[in-house]
Amino acid sequence: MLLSSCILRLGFSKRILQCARFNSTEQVEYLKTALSNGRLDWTDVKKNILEKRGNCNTKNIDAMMLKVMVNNKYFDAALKFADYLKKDNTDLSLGAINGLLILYYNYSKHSNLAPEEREFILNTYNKLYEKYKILDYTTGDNLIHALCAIDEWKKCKRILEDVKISGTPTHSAYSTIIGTLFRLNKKADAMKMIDVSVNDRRPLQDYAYEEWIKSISRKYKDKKTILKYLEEICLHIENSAGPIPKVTADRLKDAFSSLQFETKNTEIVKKTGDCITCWQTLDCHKLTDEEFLYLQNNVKEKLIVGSDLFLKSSPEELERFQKFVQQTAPYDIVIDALNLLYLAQKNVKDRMHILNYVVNYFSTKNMRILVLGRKHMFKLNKGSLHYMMRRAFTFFTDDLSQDDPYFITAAILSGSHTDILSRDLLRGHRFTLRDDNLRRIFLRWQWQHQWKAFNSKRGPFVLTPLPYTPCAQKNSGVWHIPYESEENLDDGKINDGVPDCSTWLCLRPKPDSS
Amino acid sequence: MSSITDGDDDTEDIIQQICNGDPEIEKKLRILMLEVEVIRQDGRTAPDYLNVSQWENLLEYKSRNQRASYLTYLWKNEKNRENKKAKQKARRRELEETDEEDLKEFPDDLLYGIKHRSLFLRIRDQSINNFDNYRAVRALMHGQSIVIDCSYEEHMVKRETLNAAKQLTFVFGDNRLHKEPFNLHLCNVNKSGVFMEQFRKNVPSIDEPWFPLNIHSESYMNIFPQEKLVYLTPHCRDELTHFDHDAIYIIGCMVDKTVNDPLSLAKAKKDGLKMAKLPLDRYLEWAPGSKKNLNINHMVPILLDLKTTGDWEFALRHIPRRKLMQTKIMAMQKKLQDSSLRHDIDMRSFKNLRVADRNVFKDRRQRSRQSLYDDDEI
Repeated sequence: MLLSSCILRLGFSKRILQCARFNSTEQVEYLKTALSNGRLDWTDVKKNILEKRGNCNTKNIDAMMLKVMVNNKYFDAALKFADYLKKDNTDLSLGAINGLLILYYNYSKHSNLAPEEREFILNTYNKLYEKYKILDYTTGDNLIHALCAIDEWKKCKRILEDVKISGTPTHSAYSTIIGTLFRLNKKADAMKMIDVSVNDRRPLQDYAYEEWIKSISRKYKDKKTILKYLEEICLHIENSAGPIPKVTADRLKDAFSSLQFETKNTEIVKKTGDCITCWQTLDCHKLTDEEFLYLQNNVKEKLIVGSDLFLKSSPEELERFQKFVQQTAPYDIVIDALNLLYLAQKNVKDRMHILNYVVNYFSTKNMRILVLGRKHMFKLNKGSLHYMMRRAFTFFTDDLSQDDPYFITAAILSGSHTDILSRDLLRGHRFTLRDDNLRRIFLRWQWQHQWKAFNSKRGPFVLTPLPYTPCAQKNSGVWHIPYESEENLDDGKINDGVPDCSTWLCLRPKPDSS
Repeated sequence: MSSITDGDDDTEDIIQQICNGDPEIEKKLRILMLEVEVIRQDGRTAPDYLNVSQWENLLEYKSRNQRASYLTYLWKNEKNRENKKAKQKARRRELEETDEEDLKEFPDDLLYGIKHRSLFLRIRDQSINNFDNYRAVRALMHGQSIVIDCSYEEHMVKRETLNAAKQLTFVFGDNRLHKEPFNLHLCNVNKSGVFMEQFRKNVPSIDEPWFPLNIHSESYMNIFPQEKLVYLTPHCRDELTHFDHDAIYIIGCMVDKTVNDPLSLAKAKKDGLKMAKLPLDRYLEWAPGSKKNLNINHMVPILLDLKTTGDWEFALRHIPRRKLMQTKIMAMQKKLQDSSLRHDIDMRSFKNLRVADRNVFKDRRQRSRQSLYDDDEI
């Protein structure tokens, strides 16, 4: 007791040392007030910042100040600070150089750069390469942006190679280079760079599209030629398969409107694929034979075997499955029985009822059915199980194995006409097919062949696969292109495998255009 | 190429040590050093000094974000050390300034305490270790064997391997604290791997002949008879109903935070062993989103208590409270109380929501570990 009172009296527990707290905004607030007041004695400002709490220290203060100024658009103050830095010491720190490059790039978006600033950028490029033979990714990235601002695109290619050593270049780097190339009318180089960018999983940003459209309208005056080149843009969007930013969609809208096209922001009806403006149905992009063959060759290796066969199954089971498929393939439809049984959650009686309903639905159409389940299904109602087994082929996996890879593999190995029935979105299995191309093929196969079953008050019902493919496409001269919506429309919606169909662009030629 | 830091000869030495003349690695290392310097000057977080093993770790990471998180971790450690030193200096200064005379209430008081008079002998850590080692050695001779399978090193990231080594240290400690310890066997050990290196750092005397732990680099199939082995894995379907005192249980020594594959299930299938999982759902309500893969430093105390008492409720007290539903409910209630919805929702309807025994919350992990060495409780 005495010991504790001693400690209290000395107050050890009450002394807390003042340490610089991360994320304190005191320094930034002070800098902002100083800038708005117009007090620009830089040595004084720097000293005051360093005394306050925050994460600026002597090493990074130049870069931090420049960044704050650029982010809050105090460009005049920033340029004056840049002069102060250049005059003060001949050897600028790397952080300061980075900050200046960012400043010049952002400044060039609004107004032209002065000749000294252009010279500074070129000198920096030469000096940095002299000093450090290879640059790191941050400096490289900023240098690319600054050089593009002064149209020096050849040097950017060299920097891009360097950046690739430490990691993938950013979306912005690629798109800025592409945009600059279009601005300087170097179309062939731009198209090559677009390929590189897409292969590196960096879809184009709005700036690249903007310059592309501008270059077309600058170069060509005849409406037919402009249309031909604008369609090239649409083809690229179709092949790279993602929704474009809304700003780009607006630009495309304006471009096509000036060519006497009817352009409208439209919606696609999810069930049928009709556009509500022109009432045309979207096409179904069926898989070609080679694509399907590619899928067939890879599916067994990647889905079932993976890195270790024992993780999902066992060798004896795989052999049993292969023999079975050889004997009984081809099928018309493969049913994921476990997924169906899961529909009837509360009632045990309902489970076999749903399975029998679905099997009947297909057997009345005279289709060859394969039902895939697990061995514990034998505990269900024996009578209805045998009734079902008379109408369909069945394969039961061990209770410890994963059944999903088996039913997908059975369907793909059986042929390109085989459908599957499951409510499962198969996202995990798509991920295990590591290749991007294979993933896209698998997704299109899924959209084309996946039936779904639901349980409702009136009883179970079966939903046919999508009759269309929700990608950018052209049919009968009309382009339909999806774009990203501004609000987050995903809130509260259940993912049912089909992408968002509420923000599309409908580009239709006017009927009397010659 | 000029050095990046001002006249620091350390960098050249470090480069020499790591690269051993390989030009590819040297190029990468120089780029990395430049990258770290730019990060320091750019306003992002990076430590001022990295030693050789930290540079080697940095080289192994493949993506920018991984390197950035590692540098932030090192920066935080560096700042922690600096702050601690500053605090210690301040304390020392204060201590020098105080006078012993201030502490006495009356002039002829006697002071009791560490630096003054003390009544009791100091019992050092080594004596307690000796008591515990006696129990551990007795278990080596007479106790039930339990196997810890260390063959999962290639599936773990470096950070997970270090965590696994730390957990194994706890396992060793908790085991010998208990009244009736297990005879621990580590199997499939890679004696030169990262895991054993870290374990050696934690427990330096592991290679000594007198150390009460069995380390084998061969598989448990060669040491124990196959019929007695039971692999404990959370991915199978059969539950363990009671503790079998003749069976030899195998626990996988892995930390599988990133990888979700049923690795232990695959191993047991490959070796053709019996499998079992703990009957967690029968005795506890699990919170959604928490994994049922338990750490080895939870599994071994559970098995120890189970062996001694046979009471599942008592044994499963070692599971951390954050995995249970009751903690989630309490956390939600607290959040709702503090939020602005308080006035909209009638809190009375939520008050008695399914918390059967509120004493569970007072029974934190420390108290459950107490059962390991407190003989009166059992």
